Amino acid sequence: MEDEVARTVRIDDPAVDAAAIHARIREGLAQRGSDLPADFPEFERPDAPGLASGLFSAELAQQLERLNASFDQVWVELSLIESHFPIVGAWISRYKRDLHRLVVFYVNTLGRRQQAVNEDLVRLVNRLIAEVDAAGLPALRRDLEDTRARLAAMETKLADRSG
Amino acid sequence: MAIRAIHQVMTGAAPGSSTWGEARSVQAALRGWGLRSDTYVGEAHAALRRETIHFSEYRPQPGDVLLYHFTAASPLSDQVFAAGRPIILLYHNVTPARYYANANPRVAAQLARASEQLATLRPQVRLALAHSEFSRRDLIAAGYEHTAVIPGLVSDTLISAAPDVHVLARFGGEGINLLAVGRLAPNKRPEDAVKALHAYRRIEPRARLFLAGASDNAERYVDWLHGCVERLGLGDSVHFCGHVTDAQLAAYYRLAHVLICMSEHEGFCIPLVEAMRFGVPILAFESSAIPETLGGAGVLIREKRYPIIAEVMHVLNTDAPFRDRVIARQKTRAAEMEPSRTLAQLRTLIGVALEDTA
Repeated sequence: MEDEVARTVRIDDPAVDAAAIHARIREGLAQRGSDLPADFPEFERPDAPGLASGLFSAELAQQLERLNASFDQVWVELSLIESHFPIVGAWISRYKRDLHRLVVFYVNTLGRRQQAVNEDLVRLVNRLIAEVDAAGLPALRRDLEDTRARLAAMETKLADRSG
Repeated sequence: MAIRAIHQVMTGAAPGSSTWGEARSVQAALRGWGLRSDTYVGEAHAALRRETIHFSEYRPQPGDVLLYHFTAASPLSDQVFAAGRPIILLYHNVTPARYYANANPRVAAQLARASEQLATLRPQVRLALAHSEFSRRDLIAAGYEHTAVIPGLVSDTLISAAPDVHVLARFGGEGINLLAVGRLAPNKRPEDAVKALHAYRRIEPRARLFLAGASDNAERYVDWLHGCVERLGLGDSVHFCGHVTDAQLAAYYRLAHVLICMSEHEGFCIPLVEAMRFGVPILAFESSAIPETLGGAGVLIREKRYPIIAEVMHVLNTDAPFRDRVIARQKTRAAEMEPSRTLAQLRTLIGVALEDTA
């Protein structure tokens, strides 16, 4: 813990006795413990699960990756052609800009809700596939063990015959 | 051709943002130097419509120079370039796109284009300024030759504001107040300040955290952040202050026992200087330009180990000589970045850069 405190807490002011401050921190940790509070949430993007069982095709894995990359690409940008009419052009542009901004605001508000729904769906699909994939693995391992055993038996038989 | 005007151009202007505060200080200085100076924007918050002009209304004049605040990729950059006037670039740094990949892919896409756009502006830029050596490295990487570093400017109106009496009345009294100032953005990691509070409440159960700052194009992230606070059982001790006025922010600084900054990407970090000026000890994560801005003041955390962070806050709040020394060192550092000094430095730099234009 000693090294950890000195490594973590940096005090550059030469007028401060950094070693003494580190010692106080260590005292506190010894008294109260240094366990991390459990289960801190993290803000993470959904991620396509790695598929190991071979139950799913390479095409499905690619589709899953595409889904994870694109589920939130739902938005619009402000796209405006300025008016160059003499005298009233600036006024028209300003009016159009405000109107477009309003439309963009509402469309993107809806887009954000759609992104949230999509995210829930993507997480669900990821989880389902990961669970099926994981459940498939023991069965495949059993098949492999079984095949290996049968192969070994056949090799023994062959060796006996040739002997 | 004499320089008659230096107009500022900003992608967006929002009340309470450090870039807007800085633009106001610079505008006052430019006008004080006898130059015309307006602020043109790509977008402005409704409250700032009277103080700003949309850039589409800008008509280039001989003798104009544009001071462009570069904060993100924007169609405005192309328009500023097309205006054909000499540019002074003030690079505020750009948040790496990865921080917004989940929070807002539209913003992430904009951020990813920023470095390309930064390089595109180069032929017309006479001087490229950054607020830290950390940021200046981006300018050099983009091929800029004439670069300089000037500190960020703290808004005078904040420092001189009378603290909001309602905030003082509501939150004054007992308890230890942690303050985190800045947009609720993924790179600023307010959730890590929440985690630090969670750990600190094992020592000081009356501790609470003020998150002073509005959401900025990251609604999904902010929704998640609210959920995170609830999940950690901190609903009553974390206060989402939203956008704050100068008076309200001054009140939060007055109430704060520690400024906590867990941000992972800052081009300068104005709240650090604000905290120095208000006499609030700083506990900050060692990242990006933060150590440079602190310049030996405050306490830095190299790894986010929350029990240790909690103990540092405890020592800061209980060891009076240590706390006083931290505050004193911070005041010295703030004096080195005094706005009048920075503006004088800016005037000299602009004068030299535009010598052949005048």
